[in-house]
Amino acid sequence: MQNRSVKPIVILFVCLVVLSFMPFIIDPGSYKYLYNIFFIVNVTVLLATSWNILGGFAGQISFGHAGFVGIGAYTVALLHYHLQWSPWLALPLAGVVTLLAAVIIGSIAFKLRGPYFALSTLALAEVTKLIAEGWRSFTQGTQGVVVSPGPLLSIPSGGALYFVVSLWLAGFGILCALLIKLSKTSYFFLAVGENEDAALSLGINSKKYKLIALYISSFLAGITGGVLSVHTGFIDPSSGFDMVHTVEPIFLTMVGGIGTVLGPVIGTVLLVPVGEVFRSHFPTAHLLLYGIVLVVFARFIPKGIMGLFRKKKI
Amino acid sequence: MNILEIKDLTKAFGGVVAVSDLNLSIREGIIFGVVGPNGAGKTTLINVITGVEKITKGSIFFKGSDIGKLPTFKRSLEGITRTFQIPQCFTGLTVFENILIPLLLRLPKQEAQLEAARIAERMFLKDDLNKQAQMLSVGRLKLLELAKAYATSPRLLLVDEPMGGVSLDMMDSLINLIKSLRDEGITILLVEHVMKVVVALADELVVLNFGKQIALGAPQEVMKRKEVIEAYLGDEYA
Repeated sequence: MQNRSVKPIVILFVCLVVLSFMPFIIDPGSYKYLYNIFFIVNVTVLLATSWNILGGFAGQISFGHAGFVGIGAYTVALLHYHLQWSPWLALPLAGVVTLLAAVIIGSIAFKLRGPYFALSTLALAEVTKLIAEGWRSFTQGTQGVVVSPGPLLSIPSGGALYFVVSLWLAGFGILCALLIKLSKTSYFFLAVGENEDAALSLGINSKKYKLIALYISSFLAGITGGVLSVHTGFIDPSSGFDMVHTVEPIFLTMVGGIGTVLGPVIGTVLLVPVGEVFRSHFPTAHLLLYGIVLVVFARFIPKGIMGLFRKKKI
Repeated sequence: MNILEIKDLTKAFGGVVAVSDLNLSIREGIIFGVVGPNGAGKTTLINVITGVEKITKGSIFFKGSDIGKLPTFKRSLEGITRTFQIPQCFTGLTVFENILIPLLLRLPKQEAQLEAARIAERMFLKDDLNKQAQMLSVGRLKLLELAKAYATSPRLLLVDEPMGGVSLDMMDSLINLIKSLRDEGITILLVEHVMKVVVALADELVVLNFGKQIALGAPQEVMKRKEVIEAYLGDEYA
């Protein structure tokens, strides 16, 4: 790997290591609310990055990320409920099971293009939610499932553990995005997203690249669901398949800069803490804030914050 | 030696037959012109050869192999590439990136970048390298179409109406460019409305009307045929 490629990966790793020491500087016991916000920021970075890989890099707009998050969340919860697995151990499987679901979904949904693909992903989110509600003997229906995480490697569950785990998971998501962006694959993603007919005529196997993007994206979204399930300690269809998991990553990626590695990170870091503070004082007011910000960005900064610094997409 | 052979090819869209029982053999290394009035089936023929449209009946052989069931991208990898009548560039990307993308399929990144710059120069696009494709004029977009297609290292290049919307100055450049591609050994199937261009470029010409072949041969001779004049201008001029 060339030096130019290694540098951003090293920077990412150093940032993760440095931030991991945060619990030694700011006491998680005294600042529970702050660590809750840190956790939300981390998992939202992971989810927004996941959406950006499919929607931003490969140009396949997904309205179905709530479905992927829900599948991941229920994987952890049901392995814990039925087989008494530790939720921490089940976490990687949340990604794997969601990826397997994406294999089925992709084989159907990618027979469609553009807005039809986007609508089919919306249907996915609704159908998976209905299954979770209706299959009571397996999912407990609307009663939901309790998840008791317990310690991880003898570290007790709590603000510090959730912060560090979610931080490294967000880092893993950013690393995936970085590795794609530094590879030739990012060019083929762009070509397929920009003009599929032109890409095919040049010899690019568009279906293959759309599927690669979907698989990576669904895996990361599944992990997001899994870690949310561990953190909240409870999952039901309305929280697991909440449409916020679809809308928020799109919004934050648009604000930060769609199709860039840092766009979802910047959008999340700038807006989620503000939104959370708003929410704690005026419930649902954060949605109003998000709406205003989105209108302003759509009108004046359509390429997002990253678009102000970079002219080229690659 | 024939690079492309089309046997009893029919393409129908429901009740509308766009190409009907067509038989063609295209020799390697020539410019093969395809002309005909609007709706003659010229673009459909390109779509069928490249796999964008499925064959209703018949077969297509490329370098002796039946390619009728290959998807579009595999035909391109085999050496059949096209340009579009309405340019289909990656409009959000730069000219350089547009040319680079097909090169990355077969070359390491650094080599591909060097080759992209070389192709841009060859296609008169050197000054536009860092411009976004959407900023280009129609004429330069047509050049970019050719450059992208050329970057796939085609053996058979299907060029769909390259002169549409192009200025007279640019037309001469395009004619010379297409000739130079032929001289490089690339076989070219040229669909074009501008007769002056077809006659100047084509080594062999087929005339289609309502999806059927009505004449085939040397351009100067074909254009004098009664059925060709009839198809273009009507009975009273034949």
